[in-house]
Amino acid sequence: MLELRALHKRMGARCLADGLSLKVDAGETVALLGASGSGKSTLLRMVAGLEPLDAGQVLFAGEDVTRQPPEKRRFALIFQDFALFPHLDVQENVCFGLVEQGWPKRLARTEAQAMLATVGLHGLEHRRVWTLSGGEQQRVALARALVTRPRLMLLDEPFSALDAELRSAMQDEFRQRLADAGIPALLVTHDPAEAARMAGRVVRLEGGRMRPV
Amino acid sequence: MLRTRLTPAALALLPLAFLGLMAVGPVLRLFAEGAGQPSANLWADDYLRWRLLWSVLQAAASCLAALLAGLPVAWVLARFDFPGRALVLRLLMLPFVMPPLVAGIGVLALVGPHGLTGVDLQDTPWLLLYGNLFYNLPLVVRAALDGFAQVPQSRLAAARTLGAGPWRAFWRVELPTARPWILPALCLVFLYCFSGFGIALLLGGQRYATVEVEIYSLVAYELNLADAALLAYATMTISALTALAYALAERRLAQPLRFEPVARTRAASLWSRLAVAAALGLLFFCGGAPLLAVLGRALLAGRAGWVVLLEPDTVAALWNTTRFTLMALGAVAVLGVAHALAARRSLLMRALGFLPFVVSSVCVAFGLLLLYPAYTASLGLLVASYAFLAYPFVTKNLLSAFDAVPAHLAEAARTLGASPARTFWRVSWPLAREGFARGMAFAAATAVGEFAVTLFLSRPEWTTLTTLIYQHLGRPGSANLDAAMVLAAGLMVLALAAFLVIDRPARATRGGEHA
Ligand SMILES: Nc1ncnc2c1ncn2[C@@H]1O[C@H](COP(=O)(O)OP(=O)(O)OP(=O)(O)O)[C@@H](O)[C@H]1O
Ligand SMILES: [Mg+2]
Repeated sequence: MLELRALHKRMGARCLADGLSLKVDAGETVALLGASGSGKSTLLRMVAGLEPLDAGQVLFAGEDVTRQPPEKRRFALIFQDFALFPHLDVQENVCFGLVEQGWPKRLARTEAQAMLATVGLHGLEHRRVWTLSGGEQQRVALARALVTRPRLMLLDEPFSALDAELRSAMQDEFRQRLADAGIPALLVTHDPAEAARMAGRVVRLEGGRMRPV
Repeated sequence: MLRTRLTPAALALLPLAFLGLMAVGPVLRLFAEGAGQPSANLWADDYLRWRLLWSVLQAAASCLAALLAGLPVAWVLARFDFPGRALVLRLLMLPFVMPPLVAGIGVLALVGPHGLTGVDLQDTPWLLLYGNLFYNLPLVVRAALDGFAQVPQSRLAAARTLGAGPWRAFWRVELPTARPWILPALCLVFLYCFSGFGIALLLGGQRYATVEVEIYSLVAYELNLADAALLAYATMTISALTALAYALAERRLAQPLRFEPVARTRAASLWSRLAVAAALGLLFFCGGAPLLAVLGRALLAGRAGWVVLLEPDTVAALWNTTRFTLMALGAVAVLGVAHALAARRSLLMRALGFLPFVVSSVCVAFGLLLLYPAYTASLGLLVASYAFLAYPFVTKNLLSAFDAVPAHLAEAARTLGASPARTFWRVSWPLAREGFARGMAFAAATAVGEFAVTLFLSRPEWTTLTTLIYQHLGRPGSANLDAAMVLAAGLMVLALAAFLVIDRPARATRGGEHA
């Protein structure tokens, strides 16, 4: 499904990708470990199209998307701090991507409500996002991403802001939802236990290349 | 980083053309005119040198005074809860939006000849310093308050457990954290005090007027363009350096992180109540008293004074003030948005946004007359000058608002399928809109209170409230003084209304306190 071919990327003096290659198959979740500063977040941003490559190719389903802007790729990125829009309420956050896809407002709202119910947030539709707990915010971020039916899910340490108990509950929940939706995913984490729990395969980013673990 | 290279450059064209026509052109024209005349040597001429030196001194002294008074006041407002705190915060910026004429009249009514307090500070430097503090204390307090709000509870607690007493913790943790907010504010205070015209004209008197007033008399009364140009070179250099320092300092403002801010405590102990009382007293003395003095004087004028409000001249002036302000707001909204968008990643454009503060407005006004003689009587030029003076407020506030929008929110929107234009419309703009509104509010207050440029460009049928007040002040007799007081009170209300209508209380868009 997703194929990264010989990516090169320098940031200042650091070489973050030096001929990096990786494949993620349909329905597969790959966990990406690596030391802090090794370039994991940058890699996700490159895959999402938010950061230009120095060289290399990003392919999805055989199609070269390297030059596509992020909005055309339909890859969802979940940020470490969730990046919810503070000027919109919960439901409007979830509708955001649907509106961009041209859904009529009313249909988008119904769809968003259904998605919110699936992630257990029924009744919170009109809350301001900053009044939510950490776990609730994360579910909103997940719902906002899933509702657009992304072709690929990119997760950047999505559980690191949560306490231990909530974290393991959310890990199970995420794994279940990704499996249900059949979406391939690339999960960045620095926790080997989390990687083992969530992913079918674990790789490590080191010196700008992928090493199997 | 996502960037579109072409658009910022294209967006910059309109504002740059405007600034070129309104600032660079006129100033160069004035310099060219002055170059033809023999000029004094600035360093040999004691009188001109004193003017320049005094201008720097009074601006520096005002900075120092605003800092020394503003820091404790801001700290008290940031750390203590007391009844009426929200109201105080809401009223804090009130002096800043007052027309210089109102401020000047207020200070004179309080501590001028026959002032309400009985103290006469006429012909001392204190009058000008009072006026400067009136405007700039709120600015420093606001900035320091924002800075102190950035101190995480945990950081302060860490300092305390590491053995720092409250005083040491203030010096070593709170003040350094707040410094990035305070420094730019001080640059602005210096700039306003150094290049301000209205306050210096009214309160400086013969001896303590600043360079800007000197330039005005050289140009308007003596037609000595050579010396005026000489002074203008010097002041513009100093102002430009200050503006650059501001742009640099402002850019260092950190992105807000998630943290638990220091909680406020109720002012319950005796000393904390005293501290609150002292802070409020200081704010009132600097900002409230002169305004109340204007109101008081206006009320004392009685019926005979108030009839001035019904005179046809007044009605016409009110109409002029209103329509010029609205036209200027329309123009500056377009220009300010374009400039702010173009300046998001360009330090040069950021600094250029301050051009209207940097160039002497007197020079600009006179340069406009020389450069566009055919348009001197055109309404377009007058409105353009208003827009020019209000320009920095819109760009500055909008830019800080754009800076405060976390980059990853725009990125999230992109991954959810929004194009750059849609992302701007649905995420960046809604989050920055409050800053825009605030900038427009300051712009409105500036336009309502403008009178430096109006003095040059106005025609009799374009008399605004400010020029009308100035005319009354210039005429003899207590009836005219009363009329000026009543009109000043009216102008004060108008400036306040313009500010309140545009800068409505913020809909909370963020978690933290949003005072
Ligand atoms: N915009 C930028 N400009 C310069 N250097 C950058 C930029 N963004 C990231 N870097 C540098 O690139 C390196 C990799 O950053 P990245 O955020 O990808 O690391 P990471 O593996 O996600 O680390 P962590 O586990 O701490 O999140 C770091 O050294 C960082 O300082
Ligand atoms: Mg990272």
